Amino acid sequence: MKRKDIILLVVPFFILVLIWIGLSIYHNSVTSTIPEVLNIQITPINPTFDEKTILNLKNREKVTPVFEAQQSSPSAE
Amino acid sequence: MKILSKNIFKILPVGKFDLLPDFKEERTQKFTTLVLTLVALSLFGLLAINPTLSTIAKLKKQVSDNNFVDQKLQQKINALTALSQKYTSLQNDLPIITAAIPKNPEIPLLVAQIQATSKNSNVSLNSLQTFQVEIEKPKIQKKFSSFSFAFSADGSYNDLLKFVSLVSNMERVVSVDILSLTKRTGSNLLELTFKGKAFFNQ
Repeated sequence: MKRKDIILLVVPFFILVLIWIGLSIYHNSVTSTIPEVLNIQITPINPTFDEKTILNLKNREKVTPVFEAQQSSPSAE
Repeated sequence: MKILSKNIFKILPVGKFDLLPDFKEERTQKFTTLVLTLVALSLFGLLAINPTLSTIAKLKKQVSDNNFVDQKLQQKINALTALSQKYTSLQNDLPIITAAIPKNPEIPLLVAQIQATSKNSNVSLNSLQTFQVEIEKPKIQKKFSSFSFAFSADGSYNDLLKFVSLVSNMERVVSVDILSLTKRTGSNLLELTFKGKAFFNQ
C-alpha cells in the first residue's frame, strides 16, 4: 500500500469521525427531553374568566318553562 | 535464546522485508507519526470522546429543559391560584352559566322554555321537534356539544318577531341556523319555520 492510499483512507475516516461527533453533540443538544405527557401538562392557561360573556349571560331573558302542551289558539286556525 | 536474539536480523531472509518502509528516513517517521495520530484520534473520538461529549450535551439539554418545565409549571400554578380565587367570587353566577349551557342536553327544559316563550309572545306553536344528540366522543376534543331543534309557529309579524327575539335571547344559549317566514293563504297570519342548535357541555 502506497502512502497516498493510506492518506486517502485515514484522512476521510478522521473527517467522518469529526462530523459524526459534531452531529451527535448537535442532536443531543437540540432534541427535547420533555416527555409528551409533561408537554401537555405545561400548556399555559388563561388566568382570567371571560367576565364580559358572563355579564352578557346575566342580561339574557329568564324564561319560566311551561311543561304542559299548548292549546292551539283559534286565531291560528 | 540469547544467540537467537542477537542474530535474528542476520537470520532473516534478504528481500522478504523490502515492502516495509525505512523508518530511518525522517520523512517516513513523520508520515507514520501523522497516520498513527489520525488513527488514534479517530478511534478515541469514536469510542471515548463522542460518548462523553454527547452525554455532556444531553445533560445540559436536560438541565435547560427541566428549568423550562419548572418555569412553566410555576406560571401554571400562579394562573390556577388566580383562577381559584376568581372562581370563588363567581359562585353566585354559576347557576346562570349552567342555565345557559347545561351539563346535559336538557331537551325537555328547552322544549318547555320554547313553549313558554311562544305563550308569552302570543304565538301558536304548530310543531316542535328535536334531533339526535351526538353522544359519541369526537376524535378532536370539542369544548361544547350541541343538538338541533326545529319548530314552526303561526302569528302576526310583530308577535313572531318578538318570539324569535325572545328565543334567541333566552337564558339557554341557542343559535339560529334557518329562519323563514311564509304568508298563509287566506289569512293575515305568517308561518315561521325555525331551525337552530342548542348547546350543552358534555
